[in-house]
Amino acid sequence: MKTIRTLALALLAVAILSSSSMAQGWGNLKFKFTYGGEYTAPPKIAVTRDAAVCGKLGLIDESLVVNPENKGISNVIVFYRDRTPAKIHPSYNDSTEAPVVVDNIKCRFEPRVAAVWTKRKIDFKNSDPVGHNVKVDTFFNPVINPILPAGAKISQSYSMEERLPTKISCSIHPWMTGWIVVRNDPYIGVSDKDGNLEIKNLPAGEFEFQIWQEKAGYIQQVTQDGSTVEWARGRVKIKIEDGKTTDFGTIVIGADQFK
Amino acid sequence: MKLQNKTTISGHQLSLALAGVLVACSLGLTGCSDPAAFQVNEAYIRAVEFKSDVTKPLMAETPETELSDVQIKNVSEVLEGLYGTPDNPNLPGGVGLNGFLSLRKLKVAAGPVTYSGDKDSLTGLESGLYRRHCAHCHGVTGDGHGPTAQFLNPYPRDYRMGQFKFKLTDADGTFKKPSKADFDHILMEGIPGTAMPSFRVLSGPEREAIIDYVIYLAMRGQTERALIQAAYDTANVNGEIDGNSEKILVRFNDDQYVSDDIEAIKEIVQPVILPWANGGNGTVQRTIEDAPAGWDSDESVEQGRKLFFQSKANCFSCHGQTGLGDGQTNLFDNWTLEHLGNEPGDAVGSADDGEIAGIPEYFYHNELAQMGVVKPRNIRPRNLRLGNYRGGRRPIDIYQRITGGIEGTPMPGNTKLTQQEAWSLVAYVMSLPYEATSRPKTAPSFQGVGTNK
Repeated sequence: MKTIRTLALALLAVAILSSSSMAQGWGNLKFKFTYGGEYTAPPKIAVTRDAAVCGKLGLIDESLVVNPENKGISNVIVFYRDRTPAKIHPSYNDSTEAPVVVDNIKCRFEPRVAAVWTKRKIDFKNSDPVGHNVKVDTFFNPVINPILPAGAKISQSYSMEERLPTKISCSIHPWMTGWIVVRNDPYIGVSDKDGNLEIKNLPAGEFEFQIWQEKAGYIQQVTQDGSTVEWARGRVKIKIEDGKTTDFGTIVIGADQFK
Repeated sequence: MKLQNKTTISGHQLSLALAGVLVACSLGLTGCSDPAAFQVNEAYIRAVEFKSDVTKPLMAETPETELSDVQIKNVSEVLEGLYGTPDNPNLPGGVGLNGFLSLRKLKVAAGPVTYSGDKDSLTGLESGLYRRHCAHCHGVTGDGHGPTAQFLNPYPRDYRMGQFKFKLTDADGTFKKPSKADFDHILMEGIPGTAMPSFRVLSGPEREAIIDYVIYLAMRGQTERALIQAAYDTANVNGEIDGNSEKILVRFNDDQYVSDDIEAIKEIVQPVILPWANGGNGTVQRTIEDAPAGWDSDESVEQGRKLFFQSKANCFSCHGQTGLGDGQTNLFDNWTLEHLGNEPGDAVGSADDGEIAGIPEYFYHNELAQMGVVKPRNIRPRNLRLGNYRGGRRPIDIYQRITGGIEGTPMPGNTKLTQQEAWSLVAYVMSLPYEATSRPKTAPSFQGVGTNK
């Protein structure tokens, strides 16, 4: 009898131990963004500069990129915007050594949207045979506009958080547009080509997030599980559950949001 | 919607609310029978309302979200609490100014122009300097929209964005706030090719007072923009107070929320002040080393000519094959872009095609003109054959434009050139006025090479 009780206690202890190793105050957040309208091919860009190089690339307007196969929307941004400064998970500390890289390649910015935690540097480089410049019109941080000759790279750091995504452009090639999201924490997600977005290791608790896409601005109205949801100014309070992945499921953004 | 007629009561409440936390407050409006007022930045309010986050390409036909009247009123009142009025300027405390600006100087530069010859007891200067010398063009608010503004080309600078073109602080591809020495240089030299004259006739202390006041107007304008942005950020679709935690500037006069708002305002003002004040010391001009020997030789000019056309400098793509400034003529500067949309691809237009710089004429006359926006114009790259350089004609001025860029414009700074290469470009650029486009000649040598000292 005593043995059984001891065993039961031991099992309980194991159970407690294992559950505490699961839940340590962090959770993940997942989204899938899809387009709620008919797919139409994006318009082509009229290449007016360096046509010999950029004119052959079949450049298209990337302000809204929808995957024709599954209607996933790329480059939707979700970022932590709670008034409480975010607790940073230790796994992010390793990333501070490596810079975020934005490449000028094939007469466009790659990636189009870059997430910049103020602890990380950002490198702008040029892999094209033509010269570029990168004009970054930040609101609070000093504005930059360095020229980037073919093969060049410049390194930049930002000390202050920006409230909004910041546009980057190239004056030489006016069609080139990109965005950087400069925040005081690494909790910035950008959706991939299928519309999937995941932010890992968020602190558990209820926090406010903001959801933005360059053509729509703040995503204010969406369809979630078949019903219409209003997000004032793209803001949504989300409860991050301890040790779990909070899956927001498929969020359908109507075509009218992009007009 | 002009919010100039602030009631004394709310101003008093505000001063109570801010006293000791933000402001060394002195809001007594004494002795002003017809006080001048700062204009509300309606164009920016319009931009944030219609462009959905300012980042949306072109303005929509109807606003998506409107700031509530309460918010707009509160923006004005908070600004007045922080910065005072044109007759009685103030400076926000506890946000990192650390003595960078002198309230005494501001008070000398501010105020109406008087004929009584009243002088400030300490400085011995007549007050009203800004309105006497600057406001005709730059406006009482520093919005670049004084009475003469619309007749000038280029337009006078609107300080409120906090961006300035010609300064020696920019380096490493990053634009920095101008130092007081940069402002003094512009006041002494004027801006050639524009309506900005030299103010050499003013005394040093007078110029110093004006410089502090211009920086003050720029900070105030930037703060206003940041407050509008933040207020807009917290407005909901109907401009009502929603269930969110952040209610900046909605219930500012409600005691329950004042402390939250003061904290939020501080967070908004600090990043505006920091790049200017830099701990109280201000920004510092870079040191440009002496040009290498032979920088203006024929060989150097020839090297510069090559660079002009190469990817490493890429000057020709905007300044044109012959340097006439005809390479890229349909872009806009930042001050204009804001009213048109931030999408450079969309905001490409020409003033010659029946529209005003790419926007419908009715839109300008019915909307933008009503809120004090000057007629949009394209920004033209400088015609390098005229020998007229706005930022100055010293070789180091040209060197700085090439390596530092020009803030607020498409002109980038080139940090990838070696010093010797950059000087060769200076030599080439300075040779262009002497070179026939049809029959290139050898450039002459130049005088006055040296550092910026």
